[in-house]
Amino acid sequence: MEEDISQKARLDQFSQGLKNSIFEIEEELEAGPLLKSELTGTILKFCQANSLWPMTFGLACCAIEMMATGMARIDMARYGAEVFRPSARQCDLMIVSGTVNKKMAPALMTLYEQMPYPKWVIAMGNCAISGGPFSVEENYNVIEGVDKLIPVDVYVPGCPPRPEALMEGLFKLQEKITGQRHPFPQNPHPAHLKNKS
Amino acid sequence: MTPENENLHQALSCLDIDFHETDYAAKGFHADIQVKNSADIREAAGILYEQDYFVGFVTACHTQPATQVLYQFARFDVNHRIMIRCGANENNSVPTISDIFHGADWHERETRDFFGITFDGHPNMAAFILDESDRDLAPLIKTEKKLKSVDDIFGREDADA
Repeated sequence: MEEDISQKARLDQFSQGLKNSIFEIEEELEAGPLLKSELTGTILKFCQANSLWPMTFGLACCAIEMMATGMARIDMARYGAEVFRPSARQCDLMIVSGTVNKKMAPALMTLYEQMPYPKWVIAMGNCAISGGPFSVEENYNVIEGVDKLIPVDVYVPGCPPRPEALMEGLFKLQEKITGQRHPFPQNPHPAHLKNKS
Repeated sequence: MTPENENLHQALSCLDIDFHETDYAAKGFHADIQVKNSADIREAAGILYEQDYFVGFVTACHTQPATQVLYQFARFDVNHRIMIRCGANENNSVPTISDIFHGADWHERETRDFFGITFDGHPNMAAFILDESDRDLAPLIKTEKKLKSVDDIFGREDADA
């Protein structure tokens, strides 16, 4: 092992190499609009924002919170994002829930490449955002931020973030896609209705 | 000595070993056995296999003068857990026991990843947990400053000088 190059620099080189390999291809593909008409485009975006299909892809403890978000108490289904798909080919949202290490990085890149356009990425938790507790001098294995590998749309901080935080991340993503916070009017909570009457 | 320790000491007496009974409550194992010659580890594993032991884990500890490879064995029928250790030879290697205990296969690869110890005769020494580009990284090897001698770490209070 060469001693003059630090572990951090080695990791950065590694992730840069991976990133270059994917973006060479991506530049050729250049995702354009699916429909040219403005109205249909808007409707399509509303549909996309309200039926995000995340990938069944858990990397660490954040995945436990992600599962909780899908369960009855928080229930992502209320916002159309409950259909966790086990195949990258059927997803348009990758929730990077946990620590990405060097051995996992090529697999993560492959999964991202396999997702069809349009696609979005949520970096969930401090590890996926910046390496979190692993971002230390001695780190030799953890990629310090998944945005060094793939473009990230929404960052959800926390260690791990509570399900509410992931929901907020989802709302932010819907906002990013359509330009407004709740693109589809939600049914008011029963308790809320009671207060009004 | 407990009867289990007595039996095992008897069975292993053909090898050059240092057998020490330990306090299970304090240490987590009943006996600390040092195999003095790393070439004997296969024979020791063979004897343990016949005595119905299974391998708990294999790991290592970087010490001076030689890295110690640690094996923990236990049995299902009686509560008996033992720690076997042997120093790596001058090529920083020990013979594999993965053909005797198949469960040791991945443990040995992991030890190779983290401590750079090769297991002679292992069928597949490819990187296990680390990325292939980090094959010779051996992240758990200590720096010169932190390196301790075998006696500092494994020395026993009651050991003869």
